[in-house]
This record gives sequence, C-alpha cells and structure tokens, in this order.
Amino acid sequence: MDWAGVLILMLGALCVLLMLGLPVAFAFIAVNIGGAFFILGGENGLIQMTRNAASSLTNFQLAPIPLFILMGEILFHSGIAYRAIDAIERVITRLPGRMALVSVAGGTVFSALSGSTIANTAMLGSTLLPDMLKRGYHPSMAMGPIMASGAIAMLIPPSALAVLLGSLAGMSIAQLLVAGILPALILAGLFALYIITRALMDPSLAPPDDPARLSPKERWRPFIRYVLPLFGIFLVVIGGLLAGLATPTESAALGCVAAVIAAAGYRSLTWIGLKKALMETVKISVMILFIIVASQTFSQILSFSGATSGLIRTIEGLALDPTTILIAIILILLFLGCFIDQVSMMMVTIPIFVPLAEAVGIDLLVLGVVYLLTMEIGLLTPPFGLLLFVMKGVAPPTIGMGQIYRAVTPFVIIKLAVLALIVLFPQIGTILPEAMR
Amino acid sequence: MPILKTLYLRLLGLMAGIAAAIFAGIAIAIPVNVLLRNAFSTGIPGVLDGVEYGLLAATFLAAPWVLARDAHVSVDIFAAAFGRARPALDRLVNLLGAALALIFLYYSLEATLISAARGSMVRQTLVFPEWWALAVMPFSMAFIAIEFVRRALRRRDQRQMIGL
Repeated sequence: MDWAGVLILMLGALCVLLMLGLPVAFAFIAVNIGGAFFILGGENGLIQMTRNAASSLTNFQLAPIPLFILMGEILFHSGIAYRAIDAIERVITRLPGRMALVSVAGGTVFSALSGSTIANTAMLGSTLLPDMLKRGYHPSMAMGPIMASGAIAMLIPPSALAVLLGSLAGMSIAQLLVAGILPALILAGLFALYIITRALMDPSLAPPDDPARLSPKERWRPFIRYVLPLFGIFLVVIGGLLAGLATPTESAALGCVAAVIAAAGYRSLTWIGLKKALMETVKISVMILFIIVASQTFSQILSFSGATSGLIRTIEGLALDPTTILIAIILILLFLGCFIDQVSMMMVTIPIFVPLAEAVGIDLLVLGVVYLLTMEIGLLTPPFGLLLFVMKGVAPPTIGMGQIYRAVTPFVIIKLAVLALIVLFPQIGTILPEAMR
Repeated sequence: MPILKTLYLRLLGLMAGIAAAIFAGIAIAIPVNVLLRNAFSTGIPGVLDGVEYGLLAATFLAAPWVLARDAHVSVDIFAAAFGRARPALDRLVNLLGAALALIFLYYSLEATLISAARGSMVRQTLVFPEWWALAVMPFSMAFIAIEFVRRALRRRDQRQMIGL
C-alpha cells in the first residue's frame, strides 16, 4: 500500500473510532495495533508497540505535567483562588463592565497559577457568574469573558499542554512556556478593551454596579494579602525558567512546594484538601499521559510507512511559501479543534506538521505558539469546545447552548485576530524566549 | 459478588493511591535534589530514573481507576446522535475496548517475559531488571479489560467533564 493509502486508512480509522465514543487513548491504541502488525512487522511489531508505550512515558520532560496540575489543584482546593478573586473585585471599581473585567483579571491571575483551563473556567463561572447575572449583566457579557479568560491558562505558564507540546514536538519546553506570556497578555488587554467599549456603547449589557463604598484600606488590604503573594509563586515557576536556573521539571516541583507553603501560610492546608488535590492530579494527569502511551508508535508507523515524508514531499512540490503553509496548518488545527480534544490534536498532527515546518523553514517556536493558541480556540469552538460544556455545567438551567455559543463568539474573533497578528509579527511569540537565550 | 466488587474497587483505589504517592514523591524529591545540589554540591542518586519510571508506573497503575471513574477523555458529540441505539453502541464500544486491552496485555506480557528471559537490565544511575518496569503494563491492562467489560454490562452514566 502506498503512503497516501496508509495515511488515509490510519486517520480514517481513528476518526471512526473517536466518533463512536471509544476513549481517545484506546482509539490510538487500536490504530497502533493495526499499524504495528501490518507496517512494523507482525507480532514483533506488536511487541515493539508495547515497548514503545513504556519508553514514551519514561521521559523526564513529561514530569512537569502532573506537577503543574498538582500546583493548580493545591491552590484550587485550599480556597486561595476564591479569596484572590474576591480581592481583585474590590480593587477594580468605576469601570464600565466592571465585573466582566474582574473575570478577565481573575482568569489571567489564576492562569499564572494553574495549568488547567477547565479548573480556571469552572472556578470563575461558579464564583462570578451568579453574581453577575444577579446584578443584571446580560448572559453574553457575563459568560463570554469567563470562558475566554479561563482558556488563557493554555498560554500562560504553568501550562501542562505546553509541556506536552514541547515534549512531543521536540521543542524547548522552557522557551515554549515563556513564549505564551506575551500573546496571553495581549489577549487579556484586548478582552478588557472590548468589554469596556461594549459596556459604553450599550450600558444595559453591563449595568453600572455600585459596590459597597470601601475605604482604600478595605479595598487594597485583601489584594496585598491574597493576590500579591501569589505572584511569588509565579516568580518561583517563571523566574527560574527565565533566568535559566531551573529546568521546567524543577520549576514545576518548586511551584508545588510554593503552593503548599502559600496554603499553609493562609491556614488553608488540610489533609483532606491535599488528598483531593492529589487524586484530581492523578485523574487529569493519567488521562493525558495514557494518551501519550500511543504517541511513539503512532509517529513511527507514519514515518516507516513513508506517510510523513510522502506528504511533506507533496506539499514541498506545491512550492508554497512558509506563511501560506502556516496558515494552512492553522486552518487544519482550527477545524480539528471543533471536533477533537487538544491532546488528540497534537498526537495526530505533530508527527506531520513539525517535520513539515522544519522542511519549509517555519520557526518551531512560532509553530508552538500557534499550536497553543489554536488549541485554546478549540476549547471555545462548537460543537466540542470543552469550556462551552464547563460553562453549561455551572450556568443556570435557563441558559442554553445557543446563548453560550453567542456569548463566546466575539472573544473567539479576538483570539483569531491575535493569531493573525502572530502570523504577521512572529516576534510576539519569540521576543521573550529569545531574551532567555 | 458485592464483596468481590468492593474488593475490586478498593484495589483500583489503592493503585490510584500509589500513583498519587508517586506524584507527591516526585514533587518532594525534585526540590530536595535542587537544594542538595545547590547547597552541598550533591544530590539524591537516581532521582532522574526514579521520576521517569515513576511516571510509567503511576500512569499504568492509575489508568484502570481513571477508566472506572469514566474520566478517560472521549469524543461524545457524535455518539450522542445515535439516540435510542446509544446503549447498544456503548456496549459495543466497551467490548472493543476490552478486546484492545487484552491484545495489549498479551503482547506486553510477551515483551516482559522476553526481557526477563534475556536478563535485560536498565543500566542508568539505578540498575534493575527491565522486566520490573515492563510488568506494570500487562498488570494494568488486565484491570482495564475487566473495567471495560463491567462498563459493557452496566447502564451508561453521565460522562465527566475532563481535560485541561
């Protein structure tokens, strides 16, 4: 069978199995079993497949995944994050769309402490949404900023998926983690600008609320007490990376220790909370790592069958410029993001897109930032955008999926605009990591 | 039968607990290693190997528990369109999952036995027989196969929201 037949058969079988609802990890294992038998050499290929599974996981670079998740879970279960949101709410005053701005600021701050977009969105949704609806915010103005800023956790370190991307694609994980910071801050700034403009144009979307009059001390004290120390944790994680003093794994482990110290400092550290944080970490990390079990064999089959090189030769034959190829990659990732989860997106596309990018001269770091942002958008695009369902889970039953889709649309457009900016000005993604070199 | 079920679920919980202990161990060992390296120019011997093989063990040990909690991510949106045929589809998919786990079990057991027969060793900072590490795969896959069969026999519950 020629390479095109192998590629179509493997991706087609994967699509069918995913659509039937087979857990993603097992859909990859199924395709690998077929591919290993027919392409890697019968039963020996299958034995090799299981050995590959072990070697896919015995990789020190993957260690930040559970550690970043654990760090966020400790902060989440100790209640520190909720107090931080309350403190942020006190200092943002007299601005149009105030509560929506609080959700953007809170989402961005917690993104710097947690690698989980789901935890971020669920926390913002459960704390801020009921309050915003009660104050008369239009559901679009209440839910859109929460989902959009919840998803920023994908870009701002600690991002577990950035670690996975770096590991699978052979990119520098430390540089990739740092590369997401600037695009994330641009996004947060544009969200705030959009919210203020919309609230000024149509005040009924976000009625001016009048928080209880507080003295400056009452306003700023909780911020100094509950938010500023959290920057210490961010500094522990990012400072070591930026200065080149610590590897991503070391930064992540130090972040866990810092989170435990912070929780203990706020007298919020309990055995029950710690146990919950650990078990949630096991659940989320193992879900991701078990998909990685199939990664090495999947890319080996694509490579041995000639599918990877054949596809790259064909695309090179089209004589397209790197920007056009990057745009095509983005369109494919955006399409995939509508239907499949982020880990699967990476597993299917990285074995093809990374060699392709190297062949046509696309900077891998730019490709990495593009991946992170498109995956972030994939969390928000119907029908499978995971955060849309998280929002449905925390929203009142009267709010339907249609309303949630409409709420997130302007923010998805902003994210697409930033994606276009990165294609036009790749320095947005590379300026910080280059400063590390 | 209820006793057997309780014992089985406790065993899955215990395996997940070991995975949690491994992750906690990694979170403690690495900072201690950084401290020792910077303060005393020494370190914990074999910490890198411990982390790598810890990831392997934790992932395979906890995978059956994650499946039992319906937390392995899957794409539900198309299967939902099957309507009244959905329970039958779910049963079929779970039986397929069990078959895949059994195939993986068989060949990972082969890989483990071949490694043991050859006396293959992991020779990094830590030195130990390779089959010790490989054995976790067939062990885990046996429980995953059982869990898929259990899922095929029971009514479908609401899936959890899982991901990053």
